[in-house]
Amino acid sequence: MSVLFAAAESDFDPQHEFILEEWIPLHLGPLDLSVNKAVAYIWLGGLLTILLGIWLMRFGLSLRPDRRQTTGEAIYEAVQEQIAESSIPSKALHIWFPYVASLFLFIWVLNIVGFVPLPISNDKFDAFGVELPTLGIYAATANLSVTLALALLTFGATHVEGIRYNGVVRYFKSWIPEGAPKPLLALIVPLEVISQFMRLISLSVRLFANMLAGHMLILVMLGLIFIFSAWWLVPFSVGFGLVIYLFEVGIVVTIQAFVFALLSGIYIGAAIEPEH
Amino acid sequence: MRDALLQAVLFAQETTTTAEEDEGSLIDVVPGLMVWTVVTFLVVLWVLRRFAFRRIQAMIDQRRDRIREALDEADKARAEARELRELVAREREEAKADRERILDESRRQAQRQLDQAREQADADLKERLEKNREELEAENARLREQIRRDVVELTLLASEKVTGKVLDDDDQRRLIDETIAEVDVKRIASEN
Repeated sequence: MSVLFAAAESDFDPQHEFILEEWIPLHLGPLDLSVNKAVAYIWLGGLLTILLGIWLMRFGLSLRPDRRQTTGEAIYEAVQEQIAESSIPSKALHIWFPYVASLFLFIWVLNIVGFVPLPISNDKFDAFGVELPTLGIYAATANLSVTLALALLTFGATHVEGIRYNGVVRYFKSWIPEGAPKPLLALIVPLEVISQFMRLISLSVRLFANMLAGHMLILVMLGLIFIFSAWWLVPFSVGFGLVIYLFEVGIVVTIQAFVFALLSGIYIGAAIEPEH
Repeated sequence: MRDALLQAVLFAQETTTTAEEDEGSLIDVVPGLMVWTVVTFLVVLWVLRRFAFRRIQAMIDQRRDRIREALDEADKARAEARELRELVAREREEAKADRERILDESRRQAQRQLDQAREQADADLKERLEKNREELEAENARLREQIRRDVVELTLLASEKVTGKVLDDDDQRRLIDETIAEVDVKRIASEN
């Protein structure tokens, strides 16, 4: 919406929504921990994840579940069976199931919140003399720093667990395929090392790019109306924007959270039991 | 329409240029934001693990136990029912066998009683016939004796009248013996 207001002023730019202005300056030495829109969305997403998890999975539980508890159990068991048990060895399940489950819920909530118009924006509008923030849609997961941070957690967990369960030598030896000819090792080893880092990139960029693309498309579709000031575009822009919006909310949001959590589980599981 | 298309081309050019200029803002890695992300996620992980996942897992485990118990009980009940059914069938078979045995026994007993009654009746009949025969024979013998005595008396009487003398004991005995020898008592008895 703030984009639309901006568009109305003929300076429409879809990237405008993704600019992070410093709201509360906070510097810890060289580290800039200032609070901005992305941090606010991260906090909001974290809070909502906690509230959702506790609401669905803690209070009023009984052996004969009501609809709320059934939903909670369905989500819990889906994550357990479809993500954790299919990727993590049973000996490490008790440690890493909560991680992948939390990852799934956290990313899912961040993605969903990203499609809800909220008054968390850099832009303001005047309503009867009072300056209020304009409604806007913004996804924290459409920021590479956020997805990279989560991917780094998985990356770190993967190698820590790989070394913990297998020992340093056996773990790093597991990167090299069995029976590989020695002359080819000079080629294989760098490739394997690179592939480990490529996982990090693929994990973070997949989520970031998907969310960014979805938001960009929706914003561009709606912005076209104001850019061209052509009302005949309204049905097409709104219709196409709505289709993209529903596609993103109905499918992409959940799939991306699922893929991120599943790949995290697979990487960690493969490190714990490299032979599988 | 032409104006709109022209505007679209210009907008596309402008957006591309802006995107290229601001490219860094979209893919910049901001360490502070990464720290906030990690911290927030770790808080979420801790809270969910401690306050949500454990509780719902415990509830699911509890329900699984209950279902397992219920299934065990159902299996047990089914086994008991099967045993009971088998017991009832066995008892029914036994009852059937008992009934057949009792019926056979009753039939045999009835037959035996019938046979006994028949034998008894036969024996009674035989006994009665024998008794009748004996009585008849006794009567015959008595009649023969009576006839003999009558014949003797008549003979003695006739002899006394013919001879005109009283016969002594030796004459009487001799005459009786001769008469008896001559008289066919059976024929007389049968003619009587």
